[in-house]
Amino acid sequence: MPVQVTPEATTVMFASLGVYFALVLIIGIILEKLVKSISDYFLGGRRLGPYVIAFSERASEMSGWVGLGLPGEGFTSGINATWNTIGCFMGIGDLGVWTLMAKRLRRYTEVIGALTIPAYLEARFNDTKGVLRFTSAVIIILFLTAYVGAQFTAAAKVFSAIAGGGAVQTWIVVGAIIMIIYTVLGGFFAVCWTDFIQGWWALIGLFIITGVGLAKYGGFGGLFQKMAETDPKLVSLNNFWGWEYAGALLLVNILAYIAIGFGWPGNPHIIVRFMGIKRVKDLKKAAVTALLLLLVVYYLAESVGWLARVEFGSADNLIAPDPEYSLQSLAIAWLPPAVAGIVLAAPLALMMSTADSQLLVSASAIMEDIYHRFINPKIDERKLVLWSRIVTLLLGIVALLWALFFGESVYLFVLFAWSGLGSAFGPLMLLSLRWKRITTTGAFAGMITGAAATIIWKSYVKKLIFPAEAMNPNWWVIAIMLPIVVFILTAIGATIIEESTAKGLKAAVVATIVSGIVWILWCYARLVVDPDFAAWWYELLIAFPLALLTTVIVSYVSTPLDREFVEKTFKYMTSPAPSEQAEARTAAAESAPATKMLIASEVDVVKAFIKTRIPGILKHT
Amino acid sequence: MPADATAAIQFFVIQIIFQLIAMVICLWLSDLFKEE
Repeated sequence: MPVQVTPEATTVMFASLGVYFALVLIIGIILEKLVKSISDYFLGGRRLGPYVIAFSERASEMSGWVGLGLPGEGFTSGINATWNTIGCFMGIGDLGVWTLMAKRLRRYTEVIGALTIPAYLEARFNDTKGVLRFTSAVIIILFLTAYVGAQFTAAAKVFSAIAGGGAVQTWIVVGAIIMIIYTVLGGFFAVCWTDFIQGWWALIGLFIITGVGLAKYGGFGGLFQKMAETDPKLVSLNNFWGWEYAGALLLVNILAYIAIGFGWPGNPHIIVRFMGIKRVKDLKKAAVTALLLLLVVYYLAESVGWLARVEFGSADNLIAPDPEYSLQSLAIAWLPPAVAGIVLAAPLALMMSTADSQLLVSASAIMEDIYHRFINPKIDERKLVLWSRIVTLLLGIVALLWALFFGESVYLFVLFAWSGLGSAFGPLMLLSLRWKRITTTGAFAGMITGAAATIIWKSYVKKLIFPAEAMNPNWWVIAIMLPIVVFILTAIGATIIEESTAKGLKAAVVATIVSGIVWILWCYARLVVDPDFAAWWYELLIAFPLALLTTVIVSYVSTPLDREFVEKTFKYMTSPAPSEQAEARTAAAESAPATKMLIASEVDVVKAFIKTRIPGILKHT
Repeated sequence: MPADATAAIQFFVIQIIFQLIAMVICLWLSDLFKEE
């Protein structure tokens, strides 16, 4: 018998959601006063504390996919859903970005005064023509706006659990408008502080529901035993989405999960948080907090899916026949309506906290990286803030309308955008912060390759953009599409960067050969040898290594950056930033009188000692 | 408890411990805890 909701319970749950909405809206209104400059609006003037930054970094990533997707994975894949946590935590997942990127990015962007990732790239590569800045801004706008719309659509899965028909649309609009208002008013301050509240809200909500469940089933031991009784596949290490795999196919599934972690270094709405922390030395507190938060929230979300599976047995008994309704079904079945409303706000909080960050980064790409940099560099600061707010508002409305008119299909854009940004910027960000030999042309070629590989695979193999059968080209059409796109775009970009057609063409040919060979082999293996399984391959698994390889090889055949410039850049990244030096000077100045006093008092003690023990000696000194 | 369930819970516990150890090692080796 599926879970059902009474009209009275619906009213109480919506009242709980209303409390949550009011809270985040009030935060936006209060923090509006702090926004006085464009640096405040887009980066909180680098004045935020470690715990707010840690929660914001986590909440910005943990979107609808953690609130709904992971419980769904737990429901169908059982224990193997935990590969998600391993993939997202280990390697170049969250652990990688905090340890390899955070400190260098924070220091360097302070020195050069960059507020955005494209501005960082421009300075890092001494890209005076702005090719990298313009291209990266366009890629960010394209993918992140789609991402915001996807979050709004995901919210439908929360609202539709407690209401039907038009009410769902109305609540999506209400939630989106509240999110847009607080982002427009408070900018980065509001986004981070609401993320902090939303992160806590999600944590508490997940704790409540798993706490109730684990108490009911006798802890994890009892839960695993019950999972084995419900369906032995749930505790089988070979089960993914209800199917048993072995050997190479098992490895493929595990790799697909681990590849999700490749998205971390390149998603600007996550890594821009590192730039907003006030004190560089607080990054360690932020890192530990964020990493532990990831582990706790991910495991709790997966546990929700396990609990729903043993409680309801089949997806048909959930509030709607879809494993992604696990959390909502448990909340409604187990909790009194007021508490259920609090728990239901948890996935909603995760979606809003991601959408707000993405909205702000998209707006920063339009205003700071395109308008301010290329169109009107002399614009007055106050006007720039005003226009940035207007652009944030308009982008929010566009994303909302897109979500409302195209419905659930928009949700599929979550993994698309994650992969597109991850492969376009991931290798580039990692290499630019850790490798001195990377060149501007290499960076450009890698960025184009990563973005194009994602778009082509997602459009023609996964059928996201062109679902019609008419758009079903032969495998070799898909295979040659990438080399053609890479050649044309790299030839244009590299010619401008290198200021030489010959050098531009040379870089384009190398990029085409490197990415083309790997891509054609990949397409043959996936689309010809094993076509039935082709759509299962997550595009990030190929797009990221392809972009990495292209960046490295093209860097070796293009003009290196000036040696002195590179040394200076790495010195800025690895030496204390101006704010750290100022802090050290203040600390030294404050401790100086104390030292004198200490010395003075020590002298007094010695004098007193000498006086008492050796009377008369001081007369002679 | 069935053998599969025991193996699953062992996998669960081991991965948590493994990740926590990896976290400590990576943070320790990183520049985050390096004092200049």
